[in-house]
Amino acid sequence: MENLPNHALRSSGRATELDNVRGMKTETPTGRRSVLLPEGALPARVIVCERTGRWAVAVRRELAGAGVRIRETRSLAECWEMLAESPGGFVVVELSAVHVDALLRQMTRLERDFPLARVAIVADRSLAHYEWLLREAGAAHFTTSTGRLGPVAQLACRHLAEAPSPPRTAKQEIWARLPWGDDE
Amino acid sequence: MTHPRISAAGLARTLNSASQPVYVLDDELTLVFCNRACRQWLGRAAEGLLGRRCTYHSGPEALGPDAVAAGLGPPPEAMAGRRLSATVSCPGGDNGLRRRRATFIPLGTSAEDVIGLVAILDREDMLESDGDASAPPPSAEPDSIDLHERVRRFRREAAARYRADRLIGNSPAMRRVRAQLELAVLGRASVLLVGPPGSGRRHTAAAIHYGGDPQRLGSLVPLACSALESDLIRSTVAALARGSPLGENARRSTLLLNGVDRLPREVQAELAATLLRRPFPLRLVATAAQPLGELVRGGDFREDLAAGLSTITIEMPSLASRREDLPLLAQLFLEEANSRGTRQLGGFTPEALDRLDAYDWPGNVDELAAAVAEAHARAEGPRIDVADLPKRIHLAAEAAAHPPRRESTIVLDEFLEDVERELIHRAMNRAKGNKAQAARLLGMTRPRLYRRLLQLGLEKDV
Repeated sequence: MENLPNHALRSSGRATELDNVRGMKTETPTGRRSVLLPEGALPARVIVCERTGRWAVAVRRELAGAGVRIRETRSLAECWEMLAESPGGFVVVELSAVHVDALLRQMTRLERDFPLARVAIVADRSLAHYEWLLREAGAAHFTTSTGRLGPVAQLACRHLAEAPSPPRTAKQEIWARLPWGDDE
Repeated sequence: MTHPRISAAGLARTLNSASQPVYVLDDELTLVFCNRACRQWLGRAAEGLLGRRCTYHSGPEALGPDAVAAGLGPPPEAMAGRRLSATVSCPGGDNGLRRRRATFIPLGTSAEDVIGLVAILDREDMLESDGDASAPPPSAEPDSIDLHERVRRFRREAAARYRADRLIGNSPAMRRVRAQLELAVLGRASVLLVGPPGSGRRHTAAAIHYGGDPQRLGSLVPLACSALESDLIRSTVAALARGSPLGENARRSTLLLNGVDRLPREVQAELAATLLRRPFPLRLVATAAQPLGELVRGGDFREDLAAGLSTITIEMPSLASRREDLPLLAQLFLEEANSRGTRQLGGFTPEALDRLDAYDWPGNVDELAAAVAEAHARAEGPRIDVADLPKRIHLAAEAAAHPPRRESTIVLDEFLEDVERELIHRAMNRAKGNKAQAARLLGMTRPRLYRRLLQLGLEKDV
């Protein structure tokens, strides 16, 4: 993003940044929370972490038409790396019997490491008895059926709508509106 | 056509005349039927069992109805549609347990859609006995035992993490917070935590819950009032009104309503009815960014709900209002960062502390924690220096030192040309160099795209 030809804005870019800080975008709770974004953070996005891809398909189906892009990961480590890039993200994690402890560890650190993020847990029905432990650890929602992802999708949309955005230049705003995203 | 009532009565009569104990659970593991043989087997413990959830129980009362219901709980795999056998139990004499083998038969249209379970027990008790009343429910398969241990471990660690003395600060405001917190831990009164985001409301709420006797802790159930749909809030609260989710004594569990000041107006009436008009089993703790009294005066919040949620109100101060605590907090977060990585930093230079002190901290303690973590990652010396601090802190200092500059100008044609160049470049990348596809993405003809590529100096993309 920063390798843009930028001579036309060269004189105004810094002033914009300083003006942002003066106003600090602090008038709204969302604006206040934007100060928790580290430098270079990407805008909030939906990250689905699972083994097979079936939950991502279902989440994508629920979010169809909402203009939300979904990133998929296959491991918790990769998921948390992606969350570090986009610390205000909404994460859908599939619970599996083998990583219950690892997930609990990550969840307990979520509040400190990524105070802007939110996590929903999806799981096979045989793991339904973990629902309340994971809620206690900070999960915003828990479901065991791909057919009951409506609330997760609504939660994701609401979260993304309220997530603070990293300060962007006018050009970055334009790139963000491209239908195919602003990943460059 | 057979009348459904006659069928149901006939079914119940048949099951009641069976010599094997039989019981039925619905899809939430609630006991909905128990035949005569089963009631006889359970004896006095059968009283009041209908309607209870047969699921994990962590409380110490091994003879209470919740514990008895937990003894009838199926292994988790049964709700995944697998027909299987497992051991169930009920209290026997001398605090012991009587065990029987049970066959669990899932009911439903498919393995994905289990609507309930039928459990058919052997006619005789198993021979071995277990007198340890504090052991996990014997019905538990290894997975359930794992859950039991994980819950205990999680709560033990949470109790250490959310200690009241970790609410650092010597300012009068923080002393007051700690004093009120100690008071709140002792009782069951509802507590409202009011303060700006990032001021430590969630930590304080957790400290109130986990501050109780660690051996007798129940569940903490957080509910994000600002993010969840109204229906989800209603259904969760309604489910909790029936008891604690893990089957513990609900009096030791807490419902934490996060951001209650943003609770949709249409849910407030129902919540007031559920939480206040009949005894709600869980303790209520709520957090809010603005005092509920102000919202009541503005007509945005129900007065009865506001009063019911705020028997004790704790005001969380902003970080800017207690700057004397800043060095202590900064050092605490630095030590946390030290403990996470291999690099050990000794502290802050006086200049860095001055810069932190001059900043407004709109994100409060959370922002300070993030800033220290960022500086820790960037620092190359033995201490965090001014240059290591996040850019926004420098910019804020600069903004305070200099008056706003005059509005800068742009050259519109150059600006638009830059935007067009970048859009074409991105479209070409997206189309992997295929100009016809890139032209389609940009809504222009292929010859025009070719012309613009040359004019804008993007020959490498041609």
